[in-house]
Amino acid sequence: MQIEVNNLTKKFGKKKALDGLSLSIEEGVYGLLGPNGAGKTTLMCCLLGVYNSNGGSIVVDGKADPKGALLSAHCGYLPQHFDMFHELTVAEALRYFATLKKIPRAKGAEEIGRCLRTVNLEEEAKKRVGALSGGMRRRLGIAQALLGDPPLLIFDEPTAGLDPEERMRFKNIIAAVRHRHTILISTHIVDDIDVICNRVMVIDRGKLCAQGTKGDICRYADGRVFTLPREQEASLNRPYYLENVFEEGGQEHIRILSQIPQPAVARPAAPTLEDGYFALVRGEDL
Amino acid sequence: MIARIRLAWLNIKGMRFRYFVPLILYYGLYPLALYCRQLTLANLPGMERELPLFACQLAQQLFPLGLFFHLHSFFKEQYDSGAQQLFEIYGQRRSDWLWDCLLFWAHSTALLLPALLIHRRYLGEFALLATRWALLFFFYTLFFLLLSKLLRTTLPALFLCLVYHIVFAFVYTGPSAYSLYTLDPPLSWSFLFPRYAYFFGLLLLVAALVYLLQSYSFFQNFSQRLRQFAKDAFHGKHRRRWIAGTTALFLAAGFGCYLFLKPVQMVYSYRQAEDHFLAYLQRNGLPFQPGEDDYFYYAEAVNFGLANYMDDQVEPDYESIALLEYAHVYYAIPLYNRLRWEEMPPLSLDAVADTPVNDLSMLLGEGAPSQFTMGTLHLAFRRQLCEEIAPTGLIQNEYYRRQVQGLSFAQLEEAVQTSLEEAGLDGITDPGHFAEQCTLNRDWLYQNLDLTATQKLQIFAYCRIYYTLLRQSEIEGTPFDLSPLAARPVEEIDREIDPVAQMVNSHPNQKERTARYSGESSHLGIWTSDIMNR
Repeated sequence: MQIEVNNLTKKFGKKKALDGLSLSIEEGVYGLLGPNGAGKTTLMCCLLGVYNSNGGSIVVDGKADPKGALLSAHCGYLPQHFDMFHELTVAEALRYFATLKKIPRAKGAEEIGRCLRTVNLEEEAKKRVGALSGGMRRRLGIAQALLGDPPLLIFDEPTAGLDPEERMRFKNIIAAVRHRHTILISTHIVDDIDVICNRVMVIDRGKLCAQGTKGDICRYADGRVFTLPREQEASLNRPYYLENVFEEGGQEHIRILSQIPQPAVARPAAPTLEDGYFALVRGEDL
Repeated sequence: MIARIRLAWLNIKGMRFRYFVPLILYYGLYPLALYCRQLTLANLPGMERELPLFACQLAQQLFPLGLFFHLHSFFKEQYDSGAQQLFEIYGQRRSDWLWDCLLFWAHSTALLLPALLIHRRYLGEFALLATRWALLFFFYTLFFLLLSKLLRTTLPALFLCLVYHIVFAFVYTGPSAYSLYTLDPPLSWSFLFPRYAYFFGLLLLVAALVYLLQSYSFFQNFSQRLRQFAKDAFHGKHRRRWIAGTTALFLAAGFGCYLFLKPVQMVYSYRQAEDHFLAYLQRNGLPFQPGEDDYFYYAEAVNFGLANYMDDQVEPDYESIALLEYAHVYYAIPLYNRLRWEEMPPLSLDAVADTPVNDLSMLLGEGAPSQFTMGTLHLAFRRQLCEEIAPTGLIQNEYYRRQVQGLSFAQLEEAVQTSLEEAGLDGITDPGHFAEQCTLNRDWLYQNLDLTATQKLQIFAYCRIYYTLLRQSEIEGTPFDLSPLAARPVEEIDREIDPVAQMVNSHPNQKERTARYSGESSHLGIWTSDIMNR
């Protein structure tokens, strides 16, 4: 499946949630990275036809898809807050979605079983959705997205609020299904993208800042990342962006991002995806 | 279509026990309320008219609430849950919501129809009822879904439906061009269709609005915000506070609106009307209490339009009518109980305390009791008497004491003779027969136009004593002699006569005599002294 988004604009009142955004998606696992309010959810909703765009175009496999009908018919979607059908059992909830997705009844039971196995919820099939933990509900959300084996999967903030064990489970699920689907994962947690995705798109304030492999994003921070003991922070040239504080050899160190030369006490470091992301979204402040 | 039915079934499963709430309303609460009402009206002969009215009103108040509850419970996952977007994304056809609407409507109507069938005795013709409620449910369902689709949340639609329902089913129940409900005139095909066509016009307008507005981004934005707000408020972690706060706010706003738009009270229960009547009396220095003679006579005078019941604090329309009707009921129910045939059930004022006083007044005027409470010769006599008393400024019992009970028997006899002479009735050859006629067939004297009511009152009192003692002497075989009574006051003789009158009335020979007369009160025989001035 090939998706081309050209110059997409979406306004909410006077605010532009998407501002002439262009990107392309082919096979693979795509990470959509951006701070809160960057326009990630709006982009997904425009792709799926939940919102009508105010300008631009979406082309799916060479065909224009202004209302999102082509994509929504071939996609599984996990919304940011998947929380519904508390009184139904897990299997019944999935049967509901299978019917909604027009999966034939004969095939439905088999599909539900397959998806439950994939997300490791087989034993909870007869439990009420309301009795599931937050992580399990998220897995149920993934299961409903997988129903019907759609070529495109879109996950909106799938790991937000999950404990480390559930996040690991999610990564494992993605690893298990990545070969059969094009997957678009929106998040502001860089670690998730780092492990799961082979392509990354960074958006901020409704615009695409960068698109490429993880290495491509890392390169935006080349020569701009430094580490130094925290006690030496006063000697740094401003402006710089303090990324994190860590301990090394029993001493507290800091990791900074800066576009200007720094004194010798600040040792250059190899950039990570997180450095690249910060370089893109904090670039103007530095 | 089969897929929509399967989804609907899962939706119903998801409602769990909430599914049965409307059924409890239709098949538990409603019949129970009807039964309780039936018990309170058990002694009222006009129950056959009062109960259907109550049944219709209660149906209009309860049944739509059941529908709203089902609507919200059924569609909340689709419009208010955390994954509402999934319903829009997963291959929803444009017509799907219409199927949902039709399925839900057919299901809700089917749930209600047996209730209508069971209660058709009170509610009216079943075909008409079923059509009316099906149309009403269709209107609400379509309106609810259109608005929910437009705003992407059910809460505003639920709120609007509830407000409309409360206004027209509880606050203002009178006839209105804007009301879907009706008690008056009674349902008919010719009434039903033009009226509901008007509302379907409104639905078309809403549908057109939904069609036009839903593609505009400003509206998407608005609905998105509204939905987010509703979700945060009612499904977020502070939902208890929100629900409590919103409820408190609505109650406060509702109370404020009530104070501002305070509806005119159009219907007064008997108890409420009594409170207002008492308040009027208190304000005007008439400290009578229900059960006292003075209170009864004041109500009688009001009933005949001879005493005031209005001051500047009495609302001129509904309240004043209620006071007048209260006086009528307060006066007419004891009158009926006194004059009724033995086989007719007595009426209790306590049992009807919560019944609208205008209904009671109507029942007394149109039902079985009316033969004793409307247009009778006795009432005409009492009216005439009250008119004669009014210029004296006396209350009826004071007047009676002055004109009858305060006199000696000789004085009363003299007054009676004078009256008879004036009326040309002085040539009576058989005084015993005359006394019997005046005692057992009061209508005969009531119809005499040459006597005043006061003269008739005196003749009734004299004849009662005369006839009772005459019959006693005939039954016991003792001599008949009135001379020892001459100097004694009538009030004293009256009290002594009561047990004698009771003895005479129960004698088989007397019963034969009584049966000869067919006047309104002939079946009572000789009256006891306590009702002689009532």
